[in-house]
Amino acid sequence: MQQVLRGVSLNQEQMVLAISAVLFVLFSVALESFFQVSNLLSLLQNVSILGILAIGMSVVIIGRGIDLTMVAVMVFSVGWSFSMYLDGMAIGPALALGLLLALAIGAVNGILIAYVEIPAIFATLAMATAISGLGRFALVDTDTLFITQDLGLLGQIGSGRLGAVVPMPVVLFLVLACLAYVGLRFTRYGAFVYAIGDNYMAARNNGIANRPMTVLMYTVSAAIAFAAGLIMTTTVSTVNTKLANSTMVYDIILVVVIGGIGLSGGKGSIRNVLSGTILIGLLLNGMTIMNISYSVQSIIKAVILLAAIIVDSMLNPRDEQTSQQGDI
Amino acid sequence: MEFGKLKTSLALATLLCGAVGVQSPAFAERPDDGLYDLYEAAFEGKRVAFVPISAGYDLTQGWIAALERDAERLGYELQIRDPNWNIDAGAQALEQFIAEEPDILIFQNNDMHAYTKLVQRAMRAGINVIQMNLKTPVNSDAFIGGDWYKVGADVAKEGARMCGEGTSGKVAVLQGPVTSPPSLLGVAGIEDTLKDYPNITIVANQAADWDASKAHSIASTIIKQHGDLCAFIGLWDNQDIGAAAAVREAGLQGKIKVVTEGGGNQKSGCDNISNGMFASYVKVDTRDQAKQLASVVETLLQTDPEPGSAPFGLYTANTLLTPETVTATSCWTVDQIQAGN
Repeated sequence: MQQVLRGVSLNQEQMVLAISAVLFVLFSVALESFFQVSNLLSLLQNVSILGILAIGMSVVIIGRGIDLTMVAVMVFSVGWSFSMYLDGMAIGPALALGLLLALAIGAVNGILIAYVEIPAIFATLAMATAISGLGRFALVDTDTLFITQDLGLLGQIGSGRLGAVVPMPVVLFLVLACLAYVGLRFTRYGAFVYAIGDNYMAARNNGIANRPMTVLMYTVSAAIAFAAGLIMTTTVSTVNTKLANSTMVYDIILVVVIGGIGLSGGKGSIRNVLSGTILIGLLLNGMTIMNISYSVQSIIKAVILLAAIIVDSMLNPRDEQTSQQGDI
Repeated sequence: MEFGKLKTSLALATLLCGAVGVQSPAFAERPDDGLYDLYEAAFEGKRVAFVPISAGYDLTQGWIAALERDAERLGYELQIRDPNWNIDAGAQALEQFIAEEPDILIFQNNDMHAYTKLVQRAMRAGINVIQMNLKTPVNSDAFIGGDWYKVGADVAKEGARMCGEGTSGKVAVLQGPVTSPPSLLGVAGIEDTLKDYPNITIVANQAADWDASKAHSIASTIIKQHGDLCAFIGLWDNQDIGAAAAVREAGLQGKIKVVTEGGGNQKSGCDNISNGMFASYVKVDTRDQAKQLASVVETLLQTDPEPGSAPFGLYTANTLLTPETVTATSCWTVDQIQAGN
C-alpha cells in the first residue's frame, strides 16, 4: 500500500483533491441541481465556519500542538458578548470584551503548554471543560441566546452577500485563509511555527523563543475561534452554547487531517485546509441532497477520518527522529 | 463594668418579653377545616430531586422556577443536579439520588431508553417518580409533558394546510437527535399524518441535532436542491430558527414556510412568529407544564402512593400560533414564570 501510494507519487493533499474532483463529477452527473452556482456557493458557505476553525487548528497543529478548546472558546466568548449585548451593553464594547476573553483563554492555554509543560492534548482538554463550566456558571446563563434585534451592518457578516452573490462567510473564510497563508509562509513567525513543529529542541537551540511563540499560536487559534463564532451567530441569529458539548472539535481535526496536515507537526499549509474543507463540504452537501440518514452519515465521516489517518501514518511514518515527547 | 452587666441583663429581659409577646398569637389555633393540618404536615422534611437534561434552557428554567416557588411556599426541599446534556452524567445523577432516597424523583429524559432501568430501580427503592416532558417506555407515578406523536401530527397538518393546491406539495422534515423521544414519536406522527395527504411529498428527512447552525446548513442545501420546496416541518423552534434563517437568506421568506414546535418562549417563539420567520407554530406551553409539575409534586407528597401503583399522564394541550393569531400573552419569559405569572 505504502509503495503503491508512493509509486503514484501523490501526496495526501493531491489525493484529497483528486477524490474531491471525482466526487464533484459524480455528484454533478448523478444529482439533479448539484451543479449550479447557488448550490456550490451554499456548499462553501455551509463549511466556511468549519473551515475557519480549521485554519486556527492548523496553525496549532503545524506547531505540533492541538487545541481542543476551540469550540468552547467560540461559543462562550461570543456568547458572553451577546449575553452582555442583550442585557443592554453597546455591541462594540461587548464584542471587544468577548474577544479579550478569547485571547486570554488562548494565552492561558499557551502558558499551560509552554511554561507548565503539560502536553497540549491534556491541557486543552481540561481547559475546554473548564471553559464550558465557567461559561455556564458565570458568563452565559442559558443554553441558547436568541438575537432578535436587527444587528445592522454587523448582521451582514453572517447573512450578507458580496456583490449580492457570494455569501459573506465564504468571503471571510477566504480572507482569513489568505491572511493565515501569508502569515505562515512569508513571515518570520510563520517560519518559527514550522520550525517548532518540525523539531522543538532544534528550534530552541537555534534561538527561537519557543515558549512565547507557543503562547502566540494558541492566542491566534482562540482569536480565530472568536471570529468563527461571530460569523456563526450572525448567520443564524442565535448562539448555541450546547455546541461546547458536541463533537464539533473532532470535525475540525477531521478537516485538518484529511487535508494532509500531519498531526506530528511541521508539515502542511493552509492549502491543505482548503482541500480538506472542500472535500467535507462536498460530502455533506451530497449526503444531504441524497437524503442519507444521520447514522449512515456519521459512519461515512468516521470511515473517511480513519482512512485519512491511516494514509497519514503511511505517508508520514513515525520514526525515532519524528516521534518525540509531546507527540500526539 | 457593672453598668455593662446591667445593660446586658436589661437587653436580655427586653428580648425575652419581646419573644413571649411575639409568640403568644401563634398559640391561637387557626380553625381546623379537617385537611389543612394534614396538608401542612405533608411537606415537612420532604425532599424533591430533579434531574433535567440541562438546567440552562428555557423549558427547564420555566419548570425549575415553578418548583422553586412551591418549595419556598410549602416548605419542601428541592435539589437539582444538572447533567448539562450529557446522558451519562444524567444517569449518574439519578443513581446518586436513588441512593439518597428523596421522596420524589423528577427527571427529564434525553434518550428513549437510556434511563428505563433507573426508573424501575427508583420505584423499587420506594421513591415516587415523575417523568418530565420526554417519557421512557416505562410508566412511573406520573408523566407530564408533550404528546409528541400528536405534535408531529399537528405540525404535519399545518404543513399540509399551507402546501395544498397551487404549490409543489414538497416538504422537508428536520428532526433532532434520532434517539430522542420527540424525534422518534414526532417523525412517526408526521409520516402517519401525511399519508392522508397524497399531494404532499417528503423530499428530505434530516437530523439537525437541535442545533440551529446545523439546521441552517441542511436547509440551505435542501433549498438549492428543491427550488420549489413548499415548507420545512421541524420539531423545535430552537433548531428550526436556523432553517428559517436559511430561507430568509435565500430571499424565499413567505414562499417556503417554516412550521415548527416549541414551548412558547417569547424570544424563540412569538418574536419569530411575529417577524415572519415561522409561518406556523405548535405551542406545547411550558407555563402549563410548570404549573402541572408543581401541582403533581404537591399532590404526590400528600398522597404518597406506592410507587408506580397508579400511573397517570398529563399530556400538554397543543395550541396553534400563526402570525395572525399570536398575541402579546401567547408566549412567556422565564422572568414571568419566576414571578409567578
